[in-house]
Amino acid sequence: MAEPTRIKSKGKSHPSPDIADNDNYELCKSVICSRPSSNFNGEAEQTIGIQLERLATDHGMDVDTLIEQAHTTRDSKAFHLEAMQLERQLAFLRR
Amino acid sequence: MSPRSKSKHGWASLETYLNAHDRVLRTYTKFMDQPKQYRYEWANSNYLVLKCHGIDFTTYSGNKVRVDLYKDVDIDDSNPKRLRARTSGYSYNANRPGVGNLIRYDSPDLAVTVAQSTPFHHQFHHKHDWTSGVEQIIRISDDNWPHVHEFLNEVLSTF
Repeated sequence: MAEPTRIKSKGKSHPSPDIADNDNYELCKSVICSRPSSNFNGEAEQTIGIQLERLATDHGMDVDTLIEQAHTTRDSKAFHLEAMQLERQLAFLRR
Repeated sequence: MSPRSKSKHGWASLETYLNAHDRVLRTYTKFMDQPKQYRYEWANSNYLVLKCHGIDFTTYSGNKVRVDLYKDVDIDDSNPKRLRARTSGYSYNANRPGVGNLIRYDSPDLAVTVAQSTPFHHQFHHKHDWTSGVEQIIRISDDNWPHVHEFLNEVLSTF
């Protein structure tokens, strides 16, 4: 996926409204400029499918088991949330 | 794309949408152990993903809660000079590190992906609530699922 670089304010953890507005302008510019020109789903689907497979393999299970575990665990780890998000993205692309 | 909606979660200009989300997280920065902001990833030209993982909050009661935010965003480019955005999927999870999940709000699965094996609650907006020790799943009506700030208010004030 294309990923914009976020431009951050410098040196202030609590930015003033002016800096925040400037940040927002830069943020919008950055996100909009990074928008791909195509709404082609094939490549994105393939990439996400591979990510999901890899995530499952990294945690010693297959994709179905990973998804099942992600939906039923009472202590969601980062990889569970990632799995659910990838699952959701695949579904979204296949609409 | 559907016409303009006046619902709580309807279409907004992309700029407004991004600004609102950015501003909300900034508002809650003072409750974060480390300031965090969304990552923005395009899956294609009509689909943007917002995610912010592992935000460690100290609640009003002084407890530590880890929050994960995720949004699928539909992009309407029928007017290329004024892109519009609308949340079409989301997941907000709150977890107490070392203990387990507290609550999670999830959007319904897309109709095309609902199979016989899909749990029934995946067909509607819902909240998982583990706080009683037994998982409860609460159905939420279509336009009443929370904005991020409502979720964060709930987390900070409840836990």
